[in-house]
Amino acid sequence: MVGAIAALKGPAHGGATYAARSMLDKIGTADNAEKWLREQHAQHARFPGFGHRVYRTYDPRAKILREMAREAAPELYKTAEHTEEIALQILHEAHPDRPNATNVDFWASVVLTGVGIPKELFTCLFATSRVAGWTAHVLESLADLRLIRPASVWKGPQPGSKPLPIASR
Amino acid sequence: MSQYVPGLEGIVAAQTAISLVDGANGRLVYRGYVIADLAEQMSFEEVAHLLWYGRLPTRAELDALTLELAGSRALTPAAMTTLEALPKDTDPMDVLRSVVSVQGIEHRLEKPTIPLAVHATASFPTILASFHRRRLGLPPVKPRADLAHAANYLYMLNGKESSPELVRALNTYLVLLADHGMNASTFTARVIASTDSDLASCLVGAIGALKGPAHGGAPSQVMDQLEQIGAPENAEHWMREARTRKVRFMGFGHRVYRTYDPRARILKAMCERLNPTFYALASKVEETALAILHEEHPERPQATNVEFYSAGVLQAIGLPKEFFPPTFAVSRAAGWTAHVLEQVANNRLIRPQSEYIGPEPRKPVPLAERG
Repeated sequence: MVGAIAALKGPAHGGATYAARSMLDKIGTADNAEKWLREQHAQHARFPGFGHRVYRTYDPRAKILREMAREAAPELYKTAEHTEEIALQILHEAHPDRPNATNVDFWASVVLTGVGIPKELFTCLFATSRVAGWTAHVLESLADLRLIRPASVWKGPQPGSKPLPIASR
Repeated sequence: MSQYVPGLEGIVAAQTAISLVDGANGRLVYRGYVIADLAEQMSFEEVAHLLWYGRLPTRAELDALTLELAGSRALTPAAMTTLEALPKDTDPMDVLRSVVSVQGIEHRLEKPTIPLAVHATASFPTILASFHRRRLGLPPVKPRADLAHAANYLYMLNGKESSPELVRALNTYLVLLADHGMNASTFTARVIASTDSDLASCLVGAIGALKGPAHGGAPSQVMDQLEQIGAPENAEHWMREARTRKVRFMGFGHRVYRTYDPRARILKAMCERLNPTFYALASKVEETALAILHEEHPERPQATNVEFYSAGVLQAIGLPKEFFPPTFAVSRAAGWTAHVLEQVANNRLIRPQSEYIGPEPRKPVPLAERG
C-alpha cells in the first residue's frame, strides 16, 4: 500500500487531479482559457487532465463525472467546459494524429471541488477509492506468485577499465 | 499486443549506465568498473559518488561528499517523534520504511536531486541505530562527523567505535550491495519516480519491495536455516530430509547469474576470515545444497547467491539478524537514489499493460434478484 500511495502521489498519475484543479484556478474564468492555454502550450507545458496511455476515446469515467460536475460545481463547470474545448482544440492542432481526450482527472477535480473537498486532499481521496483495487491486485498476484524482476539494457562505459588511484584522478 | 511474461523475465524495463549484471560471465559492473576492483579498495562514499555522478571522485570531491553525508545524518523532529511512537518489537524494516517516509515530508514533491539523494542516504543508519538503541532501552548515540558512513553506523549502533577490521568489513559489504541492475526494489523505485513523485516516495516503495523474502529478506532466513541445521555433520541428513518436505534452501539461485555470484565470492572469503564458526557450518551446507540441487536439476545453473555469505559477514560485524535486511537497504540507498535520478533525467511514465482474463463484459443483476 505504501508503495502504491508513493506512486499515486506523482503528478503524472493520481496527482493529476490536483494539477488539473490548479490549472483551472490559474485560468480563473472561461474567457481567460484560450490565452492561458496557448501560452502554456507555446512553452511546451502539458495540460493536466488530458491524454491517457490506454484510452483512445473519451474516458468513460470522465463522461460520467462531466455530467455530475454540471450540478456539483456550476461556476467551475463553466470554466472547465470552455477549458476542455480549447485544450482539445490546441492538442488536435498540434497532433492531429493523436487521440487526445479528456481523462478522469480533469472532471474529477471539478466534482471533488463541488463536493467541498480541498484540492490538497484530492490524491488522498483517489487513494481511498483505489485501495480496493490495490488490495484486490495484491491478492490476485499472490495466487500466482513470481518475482517481478525485469531486465535492463547497458548504456554505460565498456566494462573492465581499472579505476585510477585517487591521487591520479 | 505483446505477450504476458511472468515476472517480466527478460523484458527490458530501462536503459541504464549505473550497473550491469553480466550473468553469463558472473560479473557485476558499476559505471564500467568490475566490482572486484572496487569492493575492498573503495569507501562507500567513493562508490556513492561513482553511482551518483558517473565517475570516481577526486580527493577534494570525496572530502566534500564525505562531509556532506556526515552533515546530513540528523533526523527531523517529526522523524524522531515517529521513531519514539513505534513499538519496540516493530520489524526494523517497517521502522525504516515508516521513518524514511516521515524524514522526507519536508521535501514534498521536490524533483529528486543529488543533494536530496545525499540527505536521504545519510539518514538510513541514524534511523536504524536510533531504533536499535531504543529496543535496548538505551539513549540514541549522536552521529560523529569525523567518522565515515560505515564506521559511524557501527558507532551509533554500539556507542563505541568498532575495530578497523569490522569497519572495513561493513564498508566492503556496503560497496558490494550498493547496486544491482534492474532488481525488484530498484524497478519499484523507478516506477514511482516515473510518476514525477518525490525521492522519499521512491525509497519507501523500494524498502517495501526489499523487505520481501524473495528479494532482500533472505539473509535472516539463511541464518534461521543454519541455526536449524546446527552443526556441519547434520547438514547432509537435515537437508535431504528437508527436501522431501519441499523446503527451499535459502541463499541459492538467482534470476540473472548463471555462474557464481561475484559478490558471494568476496563475502565468502571475508566469512572465512572473520567468522570461522559460521564458515565451518555454512561452507558444508553450501557444498551439500549445491550437490542436492544439482542432482535434482542438473540442467540448471544453481549457484550460491549474495544472501548466503552476507549473513555470516553481518553476524561477524555484530548485527542482530533482524538488522540484516535494513542494512542491505543502507547500502542499496545509493543505488536506488542513483536510479531515481537517471529515471528523472529522461522520464517516461512506466505504465505497462495487463491481459484481462476475467468474464466477458456483462450487466449486473439487481441486488434483490441475486441468489
